Amino acid sequence: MTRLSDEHTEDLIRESLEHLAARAPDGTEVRDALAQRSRSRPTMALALVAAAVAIIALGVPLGLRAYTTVTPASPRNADWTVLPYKPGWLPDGFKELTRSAKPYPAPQTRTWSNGEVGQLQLTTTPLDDRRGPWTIAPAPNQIIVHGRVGMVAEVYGNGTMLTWSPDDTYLLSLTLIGVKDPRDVGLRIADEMVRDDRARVSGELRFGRLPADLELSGVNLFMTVGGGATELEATRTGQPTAAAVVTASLRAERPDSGDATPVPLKVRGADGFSLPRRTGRLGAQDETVAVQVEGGRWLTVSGKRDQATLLDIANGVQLIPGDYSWFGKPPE
Amino acid sequence: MPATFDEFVADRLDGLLRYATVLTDDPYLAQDIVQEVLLRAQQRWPKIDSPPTYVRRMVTNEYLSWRRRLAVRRVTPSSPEVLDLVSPPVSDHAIEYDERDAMLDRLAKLPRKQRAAIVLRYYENYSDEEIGAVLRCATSTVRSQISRALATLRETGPSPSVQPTGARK
Repeated sequence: MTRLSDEHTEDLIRESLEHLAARAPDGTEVRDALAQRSRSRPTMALALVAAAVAIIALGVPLGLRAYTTVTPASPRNADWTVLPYKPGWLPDGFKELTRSAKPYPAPQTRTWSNGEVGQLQLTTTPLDDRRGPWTIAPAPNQIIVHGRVGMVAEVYGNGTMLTWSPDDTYLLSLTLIGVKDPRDVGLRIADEMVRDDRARVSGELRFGRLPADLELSGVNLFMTVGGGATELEATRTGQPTAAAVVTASLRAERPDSGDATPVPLKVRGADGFSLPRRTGRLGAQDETVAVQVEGGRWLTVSGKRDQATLLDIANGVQLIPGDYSWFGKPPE
Repeated sequence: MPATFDEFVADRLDGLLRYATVLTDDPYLAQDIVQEVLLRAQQRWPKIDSPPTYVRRMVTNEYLSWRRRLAVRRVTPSSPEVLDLVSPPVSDHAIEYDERDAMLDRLAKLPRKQRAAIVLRYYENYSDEEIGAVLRCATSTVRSQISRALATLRETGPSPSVQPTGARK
């Protein structure tokens, strides 16, 4: 055993740490996540579910005795655009704002707002039959929903999240933000949660042609100042929970040009434009093609593919009747 | 100081990712931590007095707590392969860098608080008082942590088959 000198040790530490720093990832994925969150739409579902899973799993390293195991019963073949649960009761004034769905085993999300600071988010995640039983540990913040063990925890500093499995098939996470007495309110909502299986996520877009390595991975419906908006996502085949590679949207607002100058481009036979990868209001934004369609709304396709691929996708997208009738209404 | 959250991210994200990578020795975990911290900071942005200090402290605290969760979160621990997957290896000259790789190996084995103190001292060039503020401990504790870490890092005894980062090239 030998020893380095003090000076050499410190030099070597600095050099080693600088070497590690050079391996840091670029910020693309973080910027994308922040941009998605800023749009205030239900793509935070994945983060919420990750939090729920972490909370449940945390019972083990914290030394808490395992209490209940939930054996997954896979809804692998279920229609993922159908929403399986809805609240039977919500506090007065809460109306539905967004819906989103992704294929198994990714989550589906619905959000409600009271028009002020109060927001409720229900995330329904199919339990993955490849993962094995979930372990839900007892904790000081344990809850019981219809005799089944769940957990309640603080999230994001100002929110409360309840997590439980009502049926061995789905994991439900209910997040309450800006709600008075969130634990009590959340417990009542959880107690009165009912099967839905009628509500759907029916958007106005359908992918036509997609590159062979991509597949539809999600649909998000939300309302903007200009009216209903649909967003479709495509990820690499077999990776429904990964970040979208390509996104197609239909909404009233023209896409943000950021620091780039639009370049005229024929899209779907009309005068549209393209935008290179750029820095916009929400940070780095991917290459984009866009065109105004009938009714004046903008069809936009963007993603980490070249312009020719994005243009081909935009030309192949089908416009179909969607359903925003649920928007601004309490649960039926 | 950046006025808005977006400006802060534009200015500081790369530096935060580097700091978190040095701290965690794991680029994937670093990215997860920075993302989680920024998402939380975004929620309470108007209430944060000194964003650079606040966010860096959050990253450090997350590292100290996330390390306990590694086993259950199935986060891939750092290894030369992990590092090389994230970015291609730099042009190492294996012999010249044997010492550095041995040091990386020893750094990876430090208890997390000692490692955090070392990173803050030698990567961030913080004073003992500043390190104590980040780690929420007394200056004497900081000195003790660094002293013990340095004692470990000075030892150059036989190292079990250190694999140089960049070995995949």
